[in-house]
Amino acid sequence: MRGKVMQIAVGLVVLGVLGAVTYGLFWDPRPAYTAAPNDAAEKVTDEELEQAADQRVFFGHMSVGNNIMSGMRQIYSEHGVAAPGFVQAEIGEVPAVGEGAFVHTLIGENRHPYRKLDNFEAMVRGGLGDQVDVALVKFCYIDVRWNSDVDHLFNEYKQTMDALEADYPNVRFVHVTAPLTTGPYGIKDHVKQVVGRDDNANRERYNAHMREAYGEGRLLDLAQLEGTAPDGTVKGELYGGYSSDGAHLNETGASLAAVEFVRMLNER
Amino acid sequence: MRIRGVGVDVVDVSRITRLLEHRGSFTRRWFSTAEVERCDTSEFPDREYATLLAAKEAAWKSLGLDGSGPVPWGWMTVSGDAVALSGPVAEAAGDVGRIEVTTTADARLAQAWALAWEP
Repeated sequence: MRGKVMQIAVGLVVLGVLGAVTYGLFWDPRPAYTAAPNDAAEKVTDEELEQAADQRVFFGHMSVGNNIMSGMRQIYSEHGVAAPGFVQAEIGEVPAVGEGAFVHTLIGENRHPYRKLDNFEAMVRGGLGDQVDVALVKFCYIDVRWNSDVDHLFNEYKQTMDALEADYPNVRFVHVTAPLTTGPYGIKDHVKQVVGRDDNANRERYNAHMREAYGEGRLLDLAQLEGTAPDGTVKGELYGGYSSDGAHLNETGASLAAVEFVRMLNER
Repeated sequence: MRIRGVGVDVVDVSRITRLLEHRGSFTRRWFSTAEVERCDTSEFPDREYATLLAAKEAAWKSLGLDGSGPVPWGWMTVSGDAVALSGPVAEAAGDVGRIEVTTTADARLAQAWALAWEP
């Protein structure tokens, strides 16, 4: 009898240890991200950079947008070309926009894409729309999660943009796909996928609407860029080599996004 | 042949003048290369752009399409007295015959009347 109790106790201890080890190592691991080689600067010419820097831009964004602008500063610096004149404006502030001014605003609040859209529209209609050549608003990865109504969000976005495009014919509105995050990595992420709580899958549903509506020439497909590894493999998740923390862009990711942004600014 | 719809539109020429003075980049998105050339080489470019825009708007109205979508002018081309459709506008319009437009303009207003025929 005592032997059986002992066996059960040992078994429980072993199970507990295994459970603790599994939880600690495999439940929600934080992988180390090794940056992919950064050859982004070779993908753009001085002329393209100069042309983009001449344009007056209004960019509504949050943290990944800051990554992209860091990438732009880096690319311009590597080429020795004068960067756009970055000007940060507060929500509701409408600065005078001179040649080559790149006005950007930390717009709205993360997890509230509709407020971002409202703020963007208000700033365009409040005076920026009469001054800039290009305007765009970029949602954050956190704005689109597994339970977001992406059909509704896209419809609201499109209606707002349709109205702005009609009212501000001199402004070229560029559209941006929702950024992705890395993973899934641990058991937790895989369980979330199995039970349908897959943030990236929902982001890609939103992005599919954006790709269908805007296509090439009007769409900065940030998600496509984030999901394409240097070897060309494409996944619906942020490639770890482009990320600093699983959600934001490291120097390589930021530079690649900056190059695409420059190309998009130069589209006509 | 049966008429599918009739559309009428008026464009304020001074609005186009202001847009042209303020960079005028809309011309690349709303007008074809041939249309831009026609307008830019005319005696009064603002009046010509206004006339083409009125023609496009009248043609759009004659089709009886939902007007809540994206700006459709880049997918409508005015050539002589006819308007040709392409892209999503052609798709939305479905089967349609010739779209005829008549236009007139002075320094203040450009006006257009459009008739869309059944195929």
